Parts: sequence; C-alpha cells; structure tokens
Amino acid sequence: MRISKKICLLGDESVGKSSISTRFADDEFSDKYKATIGVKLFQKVVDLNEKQVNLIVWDIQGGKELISSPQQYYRGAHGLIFVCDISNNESIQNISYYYDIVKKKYPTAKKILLLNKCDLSEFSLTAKEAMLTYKDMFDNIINTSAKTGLGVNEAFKLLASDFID
Amino acid sequence: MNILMIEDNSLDIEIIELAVSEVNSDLSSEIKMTYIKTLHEFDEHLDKNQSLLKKQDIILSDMNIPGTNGVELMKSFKKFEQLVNIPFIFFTSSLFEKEVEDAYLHGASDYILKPESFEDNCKVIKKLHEVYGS
Repeated sequence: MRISKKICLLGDESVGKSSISTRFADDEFSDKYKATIGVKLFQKVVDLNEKQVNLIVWDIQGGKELISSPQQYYRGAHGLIFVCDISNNESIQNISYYYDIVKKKYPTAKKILLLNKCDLSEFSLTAKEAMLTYKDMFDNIINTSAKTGLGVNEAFKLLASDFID
Repeated sequence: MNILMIEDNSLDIEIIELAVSEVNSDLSSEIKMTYIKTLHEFDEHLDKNQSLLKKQDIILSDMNIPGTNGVELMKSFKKFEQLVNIPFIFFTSSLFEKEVEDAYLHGASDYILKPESFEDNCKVIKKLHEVYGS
C-alpha cells in the first residue's frame, strides 16, 4: 500500500528549508545558497514496515514578504514542517508568525518544528526561551543539521508514521 | 539579464513591463524583456531560428497558453541540447498540485504564482534578477 501526502516547509529565508529538502530527497548538501522563488517540489517514498508513504515536499519561499497569497501554497497540506536557524534569533521568533498563518486552516495537520543548523551554533538564551514557548504548539521539536544530516530523515519519518497510524 | 516571457495576456505583459522598468531604475545592468504571445510564435523560434532563445538567461512561462500548456512548451524547449540548461520558470495564476508536480517532473526551475499587486510583481522581478542574474 502506498499513500501520498503533501508536506509544506515554512520559515524565514536562508534557514535551510531547501537544504533540508535536498538532504531528505537526495541525501545531498551544498554550501552554495540559492533562494527559492515561489515553490520547489521534492519527493521521496518513506518505507515504514510494510507500508509506503510518498511524501511530496513543498519547499515554499521563505520570508514574511511571501509573494502572493501564502494560503494558495499551503492548501491541502497534510503536514507542516516549520524551520528555524538556531544561530539566528529572529528566525526563531518568526516561527510564531508562520504558525499563526496556518493554525486555523490546518488544525489537524501534524506540525513539527526543526531547529536547524545545529552543527553551527550552541543554543542561545533567546533560543532556549523560545523553545519553551513553542513546545506546546508543535507535535515534535527536533534538532537538525542539513549539512551533517542530523535529524532530517527522522523528522520526515516521524511525520510519515503519523499518516499510517 | 535577458528574460523571455511566454504570455498571451496583454494586461499581464503590461504589468511586467512596468515592473521591470521600475526595477531597472535601481540596477546597474538592466533586465531586457522579450515576449512571445502565441504557440505559433514559440514554434517558429524553436524550429527556424533559435538565436533569440539561446541568448536568454531564463524563460518565464505562463501555464495556460492557447493550444497547449506550459509543461508541453517546456518539454519541447528542453529537447534541444543548446537550450536544456536555460532555467524554465512557471509564472502563472493557477496552483494545482498536479500541474506543479508535472512541471517539476519535467525540469522546471521554479514555480511562481502571479502576484496581485504591482509591488509584489516588482519583488518577483528583483528576486529573479538576484537568483538568476549573475
């Protein structure tokens, strides 16, 4: 049995959404930054016991100034992955902005927060305080590094497992 | 930077033209736009003289073109070795999952929803220049 699910990535520009998508879909990483305009799509089948979940990842342009209506990009999402950069306090604080955009429209969608770029920095006090605020908003909070691969597959697998429960 | 826009809607062309001249006023190297409005015109360039196509930095295409669709245009464009590396970007007002998946399956570089406001159109043009201009 194979099911397909739409997953949307949300977060500020340059927090590593595309790197996370590339790490997940192709197991690759590039130091070269290329901003996403609009949306990019990635796809990978996750095997869970005898079931398969085809995750279609919508890597959506980052930043508060999202061009055009963001709701059109998020429409029909089954899972939402929020991404921040732990070395960038603003990106951590802005998570609540993205959460507010989608919380009413997708109350049942599983929501995961990725604390990305764990390889670059220790958690600042601001980051630790923000985490306390966010822990009740998300189903899971996971430390990731798209560069080393830390936590990336685990995050998507966790999301996929929710779809076959 | 050279951008070829495949677009049949004159109003959309007019908005982009204005947005480009607005953005160009802040740029040291200008964006030069070329427009193709029909499938016939596109086929003519593809079949008879590809010099215009070859010098483009990106192709910005609508998804809905009378007589065909954007993905079919992209497929015929990317058949040519000299053109295959030119980024083909969709700039459209529809966002159907199947269409987006199909676009990426066949080699789209980006998929952008047409903005409603003039300011957002300027932002798109600026962003395209940042990402693909150098």
